Amino acid sequence: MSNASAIRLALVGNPNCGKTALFNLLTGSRQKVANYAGVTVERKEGRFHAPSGRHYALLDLPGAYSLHAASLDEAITRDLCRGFYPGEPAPDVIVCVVDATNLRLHLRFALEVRELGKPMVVAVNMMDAARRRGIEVDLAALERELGVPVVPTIAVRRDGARELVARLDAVAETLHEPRTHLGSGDGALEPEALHAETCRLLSLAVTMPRRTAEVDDALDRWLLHPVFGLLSLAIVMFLIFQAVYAWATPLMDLIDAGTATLGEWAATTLPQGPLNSLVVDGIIAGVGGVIVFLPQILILFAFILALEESGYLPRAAFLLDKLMASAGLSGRSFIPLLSSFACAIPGIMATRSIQDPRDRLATIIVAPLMTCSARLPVYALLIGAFIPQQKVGLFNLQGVVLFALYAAGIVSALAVAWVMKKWRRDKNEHALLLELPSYRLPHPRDLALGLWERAAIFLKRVGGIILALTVLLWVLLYFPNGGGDVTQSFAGQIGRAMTTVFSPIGFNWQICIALIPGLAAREVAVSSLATVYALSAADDAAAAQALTPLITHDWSLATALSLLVWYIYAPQCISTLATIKRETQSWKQVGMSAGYLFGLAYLASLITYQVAVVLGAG
Amino acid sequence: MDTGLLAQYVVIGLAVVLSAAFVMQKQFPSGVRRARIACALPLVRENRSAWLRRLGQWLAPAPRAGEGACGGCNGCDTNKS
Amino acid sequence: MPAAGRTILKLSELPRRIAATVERVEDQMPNDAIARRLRELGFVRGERVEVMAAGPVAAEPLLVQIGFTRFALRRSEAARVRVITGNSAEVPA
Repeated sequence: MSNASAIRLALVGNPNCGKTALFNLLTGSRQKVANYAGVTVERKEGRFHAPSGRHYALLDLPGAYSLHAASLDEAITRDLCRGFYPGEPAPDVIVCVVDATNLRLHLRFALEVRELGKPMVVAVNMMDAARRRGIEVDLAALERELGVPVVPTIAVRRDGARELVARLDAVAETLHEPRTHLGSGDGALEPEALHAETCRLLSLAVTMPRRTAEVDDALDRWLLHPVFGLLSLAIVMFLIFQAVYAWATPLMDLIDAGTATLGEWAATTLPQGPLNSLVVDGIIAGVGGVIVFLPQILILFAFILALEESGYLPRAAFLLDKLMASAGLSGRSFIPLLSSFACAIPGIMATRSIQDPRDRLATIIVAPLMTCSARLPVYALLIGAFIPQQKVGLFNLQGVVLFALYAAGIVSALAVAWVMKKWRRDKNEHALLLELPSYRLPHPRDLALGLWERAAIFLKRVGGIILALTVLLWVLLYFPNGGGDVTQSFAGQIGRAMTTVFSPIGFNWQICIALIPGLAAREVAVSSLATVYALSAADDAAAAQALTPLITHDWSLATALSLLVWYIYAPQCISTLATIKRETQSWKQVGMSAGYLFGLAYLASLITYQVAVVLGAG
Repeated sequence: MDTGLLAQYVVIGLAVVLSAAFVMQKQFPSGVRRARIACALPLVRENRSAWLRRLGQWLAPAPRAGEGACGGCNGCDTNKS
Repeated sequence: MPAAGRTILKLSELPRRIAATVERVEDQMPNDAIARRLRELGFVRGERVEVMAAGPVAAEPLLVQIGFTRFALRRSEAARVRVITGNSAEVPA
């Protein structure tokens, strides 16, 4: 129903039509993300106002190929458009986004939406890409034939939605008028009729230069080649990790130097006493210890974002599909698992696009094994402290080890999925039906925006949960004996009690106590270690040392390897477990996930440590 | 204990309370919300004095935005990456 | 065009880079969701289709171009699509 204050819009379209970019362009940061009532599907709503002064509320509906829903996401889109979704009012206007470079597929959906008979506007997106490829779209003809407003949009340009907004204003004027029902019937169209109509529209309004962009075809010939394709995938992955080490080092040294200077200044400026210790040994040492890894995180993400933007990732899914299927995962698991490299939480939520509930569960269970970005500071710390900075042939040894850690996570995930598959003796068919979109050159602005977001997320975590936990840990380490022997503090005693369980895997009490705040955020283990060692330091000179040389001196290689292996597996993240609970609606799944992950972690660490000691690294 | 040291302990205490509250809010948001409601409820009763009721109102959490439309699940804070 | 020059086969059997036309999509079981999905994605009668490539292991999945869109399909999914080769008429672009 029309509200005097805001017109309700629903944004619909196929996946891969640039709908989300358009949503972001229109609403900027005025977005609210939640869930639809009773289900685990994301609900994105935003607001914007037109230059005319009118206010709009925009709902970004899940991408759908068709209103004949084949997944939960599509069912919600369908029901919401029809106005049947409980708790959600019907939209006033539907904005149907279609990709100008792929109208044969997308116009079908627009026709289905038109059948609903609601006021709608068709936004033909990616007009710039279409023009570049020589595809000409006669928008006036489309509008005439469809009977609804048709506007061009370029979601990647600042003013790319100008015409859309102007047209929406025009439509909003007429909303209260009685309307004629569009479309040829009162039910859904048959696929044959839909296809025939699509062909008719295309012949009237669209001129295609060739069957597909020649670039796509040429690239796919190589990148999907059985041998060359897999080889290039492996090489790309490998080179990314090399770059992470090669390029990050100068920036990291800069941050280290800055932290050290700040620490010294604070130590001498603040009056002696507990506050001095809190600021220097707690906050500066702890927070500084984690911030130093920001360059590595950003470089890794720059590559991941570029790969995502370029359209290469579904090709990787194509190459790995058979491998994943033999492990009991569908090719559709690829994108959620890839998201889990940033953080398992959005990765687990992305599994909603997987139709088969058992495939979905398998993906959720193995997602935490994907090396998330929070593990990176821990890995980087240990590699920096224990792996020599030498070259193996052309390659940096540290980069090789980091790559090996990521690979171990992936291999373990496949193994676990395979075990799950054998256990449930699943004979079901796993659907693939994956669209391979056109290759795109990543837009520098989108990359920069993505990196900025990532940096902001990281810094918010640092200034938030990491800082808070560091303060609390400092309190437990400082009291009751006020900065004297750290092993006698609250935390020291807890840590030493924990060593009864953890010494077989080589963890000393400092590591044990650092694991506890590490349950809230994996990186906190790094800042916690920094604080523990800062407080244990015999004198000021030692306290000013960075964490890395301290642990090189204090730990054995076996302990370091054991901790690395622990971090590959251990579910050191309560938030991930909470997300699993939300997505599976089952405490049993959470319990089993946590159980198997901790068990795996302990076992793997035990083997690693004992073997390393036997081999002389203890 | 001289005043300098006392002041330091006050600052430290404040930092600890804020940090603990922050961690609770992030890790157990629904728990915190229930606790706040439980504490605020007895304070806002009709027969209490004015300042107690103001205290209760300050303590009570803000009503969840969009409670009707989204069904009040815990989804708003989902993006933890 | 002579009927003798045309063969009907499954999409999963179609050799690479040979253009064919979709004849129909068959249900492999009652209420086949995958078959319905294929029809909705554009595998309808008269549409031009071509197998461009195959995956590295066991020639699966298949990279199929239907119209102007490319999809990765399993052999079992592609097997539901019946195509005709030897048809020299091009579907208008």
